[in-house]
Amino acid sequence: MTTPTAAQLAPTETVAKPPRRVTAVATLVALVIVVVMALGLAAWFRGEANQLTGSAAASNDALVDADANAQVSAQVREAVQRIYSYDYARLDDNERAASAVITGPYVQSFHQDFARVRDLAPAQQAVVVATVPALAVKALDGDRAIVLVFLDQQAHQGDQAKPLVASGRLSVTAQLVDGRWKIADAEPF
Amino acid sequence: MTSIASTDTSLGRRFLGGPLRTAILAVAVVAVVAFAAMGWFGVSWYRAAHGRSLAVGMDRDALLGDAQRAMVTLNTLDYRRVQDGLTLWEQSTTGSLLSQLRANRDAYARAITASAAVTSARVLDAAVASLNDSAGTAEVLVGVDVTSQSEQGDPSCAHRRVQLDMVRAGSAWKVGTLAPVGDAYSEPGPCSPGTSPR
Repeated sequence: MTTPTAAQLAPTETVAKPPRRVTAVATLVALVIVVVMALGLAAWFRGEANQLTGSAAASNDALVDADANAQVSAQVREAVQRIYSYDYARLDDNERAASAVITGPYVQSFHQDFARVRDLAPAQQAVVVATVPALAVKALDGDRAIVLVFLDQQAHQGDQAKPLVASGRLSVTAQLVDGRWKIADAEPF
Repeated sequence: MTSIASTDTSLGRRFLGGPLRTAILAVAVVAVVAFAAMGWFGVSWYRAAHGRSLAVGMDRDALLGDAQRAMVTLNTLDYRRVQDGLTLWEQSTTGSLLSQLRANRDAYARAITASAAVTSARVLDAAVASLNDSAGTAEVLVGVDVTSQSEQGDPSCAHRRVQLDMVRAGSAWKVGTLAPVGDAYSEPGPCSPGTSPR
């Protein structure tokens, strides 16, 4: 029983062995090629995706996030008007009100500027009303925003009937602190 | 025959049961992982490319660039090359501003020639105030400094605040209306060259 089987087996083995092996090796090679191609495509897709999401356009939410944009606009407008308005008779109130809407390095420079106002405003009986005729959010990224602000100041002095009008352009950096956008920097240009 | 077939299979198993079989299995697992990664990054690319937010962001930045270039063009003129300058003005405008420029072209040309002035402009800062993507309209604020140098007099610098209504014209944005925000503040002497625009 065993001998004929073994005799039969021998030729079968020599014939069947190479194709089996060849098929297996071919499968392995094909799989490796597939892996290399898939990894190559994955790397390419990843690169393209990162390039898009990491681009300047994608990392700036100005006008993209409409709600945040509106919030920045409204609060920066209010804050700037508060900071640049004062009444010689209510300077303490003005400085306190402005202090609530400033943050970071701007705190110090604001109080320095306001010290000059304290020196000059009472003698001139100056009442300055600041308005923002237009502003636009230039950049918005998380808790930081850069806002282009057009600022008008109307200065009434003592008994002079005609107010002095000054117009300015500001680049304002705003920082979101405890849910409120505060002025972190304001640079005239 | 059956015995041969069964022996054959067992032989095949013996060959594939070796390191070759292990290698195939391992590479197959890697292939599945590689396909998953490919699918994942493919989808994230597609999402990034077709997301509304990126489209708006890119639109905003393209618009801002066009507005800044238009602003420089519309504040630049040279009385020695009036017609070229006016043609450039017309190329960067559309709608009511373009009609106005065309209707008054001769009058403008005469006035510029008579002024014997050369102006140059520099945009210091600009930002998009609003953007209606579907309507193709937008508002842009621009702070621009314009140096005027007339043949006889001394140069002067005007610090201007401008609101532009932009209109999409094909692949570019053009100026539909141009409105100063308050009066320009002028001072003698050329505008400071300053650093590059913000």
